[in-house]
Amino acid sequence: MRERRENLKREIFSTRPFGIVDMLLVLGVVALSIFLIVNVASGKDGVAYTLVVEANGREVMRVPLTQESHWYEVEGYQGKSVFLVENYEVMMVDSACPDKLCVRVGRVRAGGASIVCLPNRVVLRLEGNGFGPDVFQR
Amino acid sequence: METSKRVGYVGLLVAVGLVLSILESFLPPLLPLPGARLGLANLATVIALFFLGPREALEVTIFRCLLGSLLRGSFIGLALSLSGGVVAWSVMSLLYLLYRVPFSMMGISIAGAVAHNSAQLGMAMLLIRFTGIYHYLPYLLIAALPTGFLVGIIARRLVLALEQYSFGGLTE
Repeated sequence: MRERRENLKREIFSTRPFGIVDMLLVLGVVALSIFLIVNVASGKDGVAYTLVVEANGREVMRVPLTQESHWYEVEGYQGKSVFLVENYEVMMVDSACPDKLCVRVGRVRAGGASIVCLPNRVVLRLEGNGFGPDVFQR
Repeated sequence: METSKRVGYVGLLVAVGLVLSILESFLPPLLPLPGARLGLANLATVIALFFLGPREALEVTIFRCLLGSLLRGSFIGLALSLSGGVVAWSVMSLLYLLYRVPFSMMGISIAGAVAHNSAQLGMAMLLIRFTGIYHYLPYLLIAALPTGFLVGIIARRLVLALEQYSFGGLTE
């Protein structure tokens, strides 16, 4: 108790609340993020060839990416997920999940990118050479 | 501090955490996953850690996650928030107990936010058995910096106010 009060005092009355150690921590996190972005998350703008569909943790189908439209359905944990392959892109059109976050992701085309629907346990993953821009950069 | 006061403060901070996690659910999600959150509700844990202590901070974290997922009604949300909350608590308590290391409250809170987001991502990877979402890690790490800093600054002011209210303030 006494020591706790001492710690608090030091914290609250310190003139420089954000110290060198804190700055080092921030710089470390920024450096790690940049390292990860450069080495893992981006790289070449990969070309996707195949769409791998996983449901309930198992691969259920592989479909080619085509220019003409193809509709597919997959049975997930909570119900059907419907996705559309068109113009070498894939998008989730409807899903049995409550929040529809996977639908809001929109169209995805680069190799390594993916659409994940966690409630319905469906993953649409594009396989190709290298990683492309992620859905994050939509 | 007497037991009744301690219980009262823990309850109060659980309520604060719950309200924050509901407010947070109005913000756009970081991961395209339900239950993955920015970690503003960590504010309750940080306040509990500095005002009451590590044990109380763990109590606040666990009750906040349990009640929060009851309100939202999702198991995945519980797994994500509990993993994030407990890992963030362990990291922050460790740094708090090693207080000779001159981290400020903001520094500890940033470390907690980084741990929170990483643990949530790890738990999401386990749950969906798809490792591809680790691509989000760098963005989550960067997002943890402003969140953690904000939570640290707010906690600093609030702990000072609480201290004044309950012990008549700190004197130099």
